[in-house]
Amino acid sequence: MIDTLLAFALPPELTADGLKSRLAAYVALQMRPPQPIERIYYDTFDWRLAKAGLALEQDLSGARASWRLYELATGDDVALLDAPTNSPFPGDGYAPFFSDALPPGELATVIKPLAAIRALLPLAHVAGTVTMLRVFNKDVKTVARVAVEDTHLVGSQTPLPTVARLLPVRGYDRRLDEVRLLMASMPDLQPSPNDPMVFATEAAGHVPGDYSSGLRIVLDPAERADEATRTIYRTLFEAMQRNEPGVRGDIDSEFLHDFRVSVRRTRSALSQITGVLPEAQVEHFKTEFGWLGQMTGPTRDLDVYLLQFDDFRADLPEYMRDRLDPLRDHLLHRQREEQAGLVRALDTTRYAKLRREWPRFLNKPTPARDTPENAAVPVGELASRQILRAYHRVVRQAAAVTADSPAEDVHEVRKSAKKLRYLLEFYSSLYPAEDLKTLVVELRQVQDILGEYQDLQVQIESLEGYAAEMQAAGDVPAATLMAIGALTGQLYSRELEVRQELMPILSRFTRPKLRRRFEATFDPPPPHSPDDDEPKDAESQPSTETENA
Amino acid sequence: MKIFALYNIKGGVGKTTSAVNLAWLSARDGANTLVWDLDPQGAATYCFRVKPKIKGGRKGLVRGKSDLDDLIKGTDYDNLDLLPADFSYRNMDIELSDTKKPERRFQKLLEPLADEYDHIFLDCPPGLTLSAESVFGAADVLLMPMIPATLSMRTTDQIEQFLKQEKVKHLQRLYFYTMVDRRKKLHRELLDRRSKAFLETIIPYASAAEQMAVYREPVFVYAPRSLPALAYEALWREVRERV
Repeated sequence: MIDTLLAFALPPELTADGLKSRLAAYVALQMRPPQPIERIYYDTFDWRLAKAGLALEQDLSGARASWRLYELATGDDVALLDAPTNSPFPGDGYAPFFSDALPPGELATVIKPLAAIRALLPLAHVAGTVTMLRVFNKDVKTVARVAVEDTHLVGSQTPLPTVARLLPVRGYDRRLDEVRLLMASMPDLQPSPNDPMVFATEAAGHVPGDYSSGLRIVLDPAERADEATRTIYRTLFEAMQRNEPGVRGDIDSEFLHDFRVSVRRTRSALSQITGVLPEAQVEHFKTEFGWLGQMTGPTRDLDVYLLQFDDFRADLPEYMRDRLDPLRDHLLHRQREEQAGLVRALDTTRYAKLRREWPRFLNKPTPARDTPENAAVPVGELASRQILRAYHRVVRQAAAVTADSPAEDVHEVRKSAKKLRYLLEFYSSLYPAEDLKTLVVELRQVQDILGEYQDLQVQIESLEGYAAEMQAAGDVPAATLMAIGALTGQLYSRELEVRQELMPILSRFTRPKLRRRFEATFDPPPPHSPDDDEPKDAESQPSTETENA
Repeated sequence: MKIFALYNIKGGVGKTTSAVNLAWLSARDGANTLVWDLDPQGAATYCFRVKPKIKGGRKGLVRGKSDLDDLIKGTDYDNLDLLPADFSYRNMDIELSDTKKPERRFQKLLEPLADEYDHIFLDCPPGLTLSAESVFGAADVLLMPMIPATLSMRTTDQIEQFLKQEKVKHLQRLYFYTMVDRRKKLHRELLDRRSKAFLETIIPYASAAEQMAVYREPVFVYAPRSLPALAYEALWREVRERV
């Protein structure tokens, strides 16, 4: 620990001057006048830069705003960019921005593929002063620096702890260690995060790396099914809540995506994990989350078309591409409308009630009388039973699909496959990771092809719908309608191809060898009641959503 | 990465002063910059207040056994590092003559630093030696300071002849006058007769430049508005335009 510790929080009464006097008893020092500092740290909501070991800092201390992307581990610069503070990019109120707005250059080259469709958010904005203490040797050569930072979060006058940061001078490691040990031996100095981004964002109430769109639920196979189920719901509800401000603000499309995935997972769990929580309330929440899912659908669909727009363009011959521009305008316009509608839905008392009642329900103990039949079953046992049941349903439906089956039958397989996938995610901590991985890879192939098939159908239908809307509103060039027609034609021929491709993938999933693997992994103990798990397929409303799961 | 060699056959013409001040300007402009003090007298090392290596000959360095990385020292200035002088450099020619392709030796040594540094300034010892030849092989730009004197003109001829004879073609030559005293008729005359390889900017004779060894800092630190400071600023601008 001591070998890597480079920053110390000073007690409130200790100033830069005080620290200098203390250190001066042991090393030669010189203090420079305090300089103003102001910095903003950016990352995506899911910490894509931090997870890649990077931090993005905007330095507003000088006349020009300089941007610095650096390595968290070493503090080494990865890319730098100078931009006038008053330029439209980005200095406009420190708002979130997309990496597309970065001017071409090294910074953009590194950040674009990492951040991709996610917005970069200002996570912490700190300002104050830095006082540099220079530690020197007999030749008055600087051998280490101590930067004493007195800062506060902008917008709040409460000061952050004063931090003394050790800055090494190359080739003088031993002198740095001397100062480090000296400071570590002062009992009133507390270790502080070495990195200024980590320090600032933590002060602003964020924990670097604390959000991921993947689901991580840790369960104990022996715990009661009702407890485990509540844990699953709580995790999903927390993800919804964390994404809600971003959904309302429409900061980037992933907030709504992750919000919807949590809603869908919740609905899937409500319909699949039966006999564990009181039935009547489960039914009620099933309706409510179903409503919420519907409210979020149209905005998501439009987000997806906008994200895919460049691919749509690329599907057309070059001379036609610009003719799609009015469609993009229409999609943008509709997206804003639907987004406003979504925010209104989130402002309803119905949603407020759901947000209030759901956690209350999750915190209520299971009733002692009329205990649901599976409430006290160990979750490990129940999980295996549910997973196998879901697996067999997929196999049964997949085996029944022939080249002539109607599209609805194919969609039923898709929905069942998704339910199975969600169960595998909820219960992943109960099984060996390696075993699950192989099965999930198999399942994902089925999901991918079925998802593409469904998406193509929905896209064709929606594009035709948008074309009709544009026509009804008048003023749409004939060339645009023809371009949309050409596009749906392309999508339709792809749909026919996919329909051919999915047959062998479905039949592969039904092979006996895979069944033996599923059964070996989820080998269920004898059921304690033979009739308790009749499939209750409650997710009956037609799914018109386009998913990029 | 651009490598600048501050070199002249003659000593005392302002090689170190130029190397230190130009490197400081390069670093100030945000370029990661390294000064390699190749002169065993270690004047640049002294100016940066770094201790030269005295003990234990560094045969390994020229042979490539030693990692340059471990020897680099940070200076007191951002973006500016120093590879300090080593007393054993006085034997460098002997060592180089023992290696295969000595004229490529420095290039090989500097290759690994390309990722880290934008500019490297080589502060070379005087003399037309094997190490000079190796420096010419590695450098992109030969920056040659000289004092306005009839004899100095002979120096440029010697260098040109040498480079031609050794078939060194890649090396850009930029010459400039230092310690110029415009009160002297000869200085004025020589300034008028400069060839195209000469930079317009001249470094005037001024006590501020002489004092660098007293202050042990680049001139910009102790006399930022002095004549030499302004002249080096102009010189660096011109070098950037020409390179």
